[in-house]
Amino acid sequence: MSAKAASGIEALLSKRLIFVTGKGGVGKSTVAASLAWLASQRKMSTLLCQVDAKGDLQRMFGRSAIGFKPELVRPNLWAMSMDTEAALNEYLKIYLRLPVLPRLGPLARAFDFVANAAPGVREILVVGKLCWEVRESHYDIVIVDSAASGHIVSQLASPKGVGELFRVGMVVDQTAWMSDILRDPKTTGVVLVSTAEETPVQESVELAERLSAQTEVSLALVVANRVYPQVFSKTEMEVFNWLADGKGSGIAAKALGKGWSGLIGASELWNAMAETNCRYVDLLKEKVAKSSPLVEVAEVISLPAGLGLIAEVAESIEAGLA
Amino acid sequence: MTESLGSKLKEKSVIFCAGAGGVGKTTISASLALTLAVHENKSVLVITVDPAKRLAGALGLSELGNEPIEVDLSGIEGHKGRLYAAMVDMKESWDQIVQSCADSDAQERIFANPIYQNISSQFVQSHDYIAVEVLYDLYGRGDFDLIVVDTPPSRNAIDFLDAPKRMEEFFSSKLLRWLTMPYRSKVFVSAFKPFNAVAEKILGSAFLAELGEFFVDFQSMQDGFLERARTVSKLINSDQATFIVISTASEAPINEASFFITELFERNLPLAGVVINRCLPQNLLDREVASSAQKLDDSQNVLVAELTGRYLKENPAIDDDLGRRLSPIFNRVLSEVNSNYLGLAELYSSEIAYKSKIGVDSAEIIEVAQERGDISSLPNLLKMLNNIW
Repeated sequence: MSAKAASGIEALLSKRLIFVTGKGGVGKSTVAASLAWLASQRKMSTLLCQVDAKGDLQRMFGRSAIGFKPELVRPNLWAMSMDTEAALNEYLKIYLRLPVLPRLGPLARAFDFVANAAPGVREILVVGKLCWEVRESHYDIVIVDSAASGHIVSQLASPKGVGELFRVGMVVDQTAWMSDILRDPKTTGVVLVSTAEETPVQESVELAERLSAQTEVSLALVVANRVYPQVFSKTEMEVFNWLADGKGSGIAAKALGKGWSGLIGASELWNAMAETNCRYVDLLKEKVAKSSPLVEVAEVISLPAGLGLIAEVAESIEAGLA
Repeated sequence: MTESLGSKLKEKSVIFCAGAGGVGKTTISASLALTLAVHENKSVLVITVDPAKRLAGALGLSELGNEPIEVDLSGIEGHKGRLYAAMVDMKESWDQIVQSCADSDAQERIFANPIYQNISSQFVQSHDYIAVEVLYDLYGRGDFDLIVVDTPPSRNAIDFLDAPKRMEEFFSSKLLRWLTMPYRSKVFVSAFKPFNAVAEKILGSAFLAELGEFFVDFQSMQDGFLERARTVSKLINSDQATFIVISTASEAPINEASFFITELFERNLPLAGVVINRCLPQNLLDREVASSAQKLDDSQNVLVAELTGRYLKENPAIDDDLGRRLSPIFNRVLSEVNSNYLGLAELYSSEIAYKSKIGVDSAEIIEVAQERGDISSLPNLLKMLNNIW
């Protein structure tokens, strides 16, 4: 450790377990991959786990499939997809020391049904597997591309909920150490990703409230993603308006042709989106990032999902936290 | 000529709106319901599951619940349509199902069981199932000419279609038999033994007992449940129902949309149309605009000189400092105008590429323009889909 206390990105990456969440479609997987990228660039052995496997991860890393068994996708960076049945198998192997597991196939299948039907079982398996990776120190850091907002709270609350519901049994005995890991803000944090628009921000506000009311996990960072930056200062805006509606527009149209109105239209749309984004970033700061930092990541137009985009977003996050 | 989306839809009783999260599905569903009510003078209900309660705001309703509320359309003239809105309330819906399907003793036990209290949000993706249930109830009343269903945000839009079938499978599953075995029969089937032993060790006997008791009562509701599930399945598969797929022109939502469309075809279900939301203006790639951008790039300095001169002449009272900075300001503004244009034009080209990947004829695609601000008013909602006729 350096003499100076770690701050910015270093403070974030000094945690052991990071859950990245947010409403569907806000770019949560890209942010999770970017954080994993930043960690792996620092030579930390990093596990990136997608919980709601929609295939984003394999697309980003150009793989045909990513399974339960972690796979090295970049130097120091392992990727895996959560699979509750596989997690259950692993759990049974470790804790029950069940011999010849393949022969218990039907049993494991039955448990998958239980996991489906009994509240909290699926959630505790997911959270249990992730906490276990942390406890066993298989990696320096575990970054989770979590379930969308609706589900993350029940996952993070599951050790507590399951404890109350089950009361006795092996699962309950396991929940105490999981809670210890989740509760410690030095160890575990949530990164909440939102775009700066009405619905995602409203959902983020509700999610932040539920996280703090129903779980013990603390919010580590808010990412306002895909923000259209405001490009004009106040004075420049006056000049722009003169060009758009005032006498300037005639001069420019004469010099540049009829397409000028299309050019101005594009900038008007850009400005409108930037203005909306700015308003909702302020709302995120006020209502969500009350005691955690917020970084803005600008809309990246020219890159499709992939390593290039991950690197670009990673750079924005790092710069935003500096 | 292809039939317009509007005329295809007006003949139907139920329209399902499906698509990835974050594409504006709830807004489009509300807009569609409103548009059909006003243009076709019909009584239309929109059912949403969006927990963000945003629809309520846009429709001028303070609170939505399972019971439809009429939206005040008096501000919109020249029509006889009526619009109603309802929002699926999970807890309320589960309680209603239990009340209508279980006998009174079982009801009491179910309501008191801690597992039931926990189940509403987690049980076999119950959002999907409950949406189907609410539809069953409201459709059965026959109060509406048309119901627009904003399908639940789930991992996969197709889950919604499978919800009735999954419920049926669950009732006939081995698990349910195993869990309820000790409570139904004194005969301990040998196949159950290892399951019970391991289950008890892991889950604890108290929880297992509660789970078993719960499912015994739950099973008593089987007939009611299955009948409802089958009715909804029939409705989904009838010619009274149709589907609209909603997406934005970006990678992940388009992938999900085209997956859903393929599934519809495979199940022989109808697709009325595809709505692409938040589209950029179509003139971005016009040759005229591109050529103006090129000219700007070539002759920016000359133009800046002319504009600066004119601006100073028009604003003689401008202070000296600003006057000196005016030329670089114009330069920067024009450079930004050009780069904003180039950025959006590039984005627009990628939108075209994504739209072509969706796998339906472009005549079936309705484009809705990117909004410049919030859409939270009825006139704005009405404008969004005014091009479906």
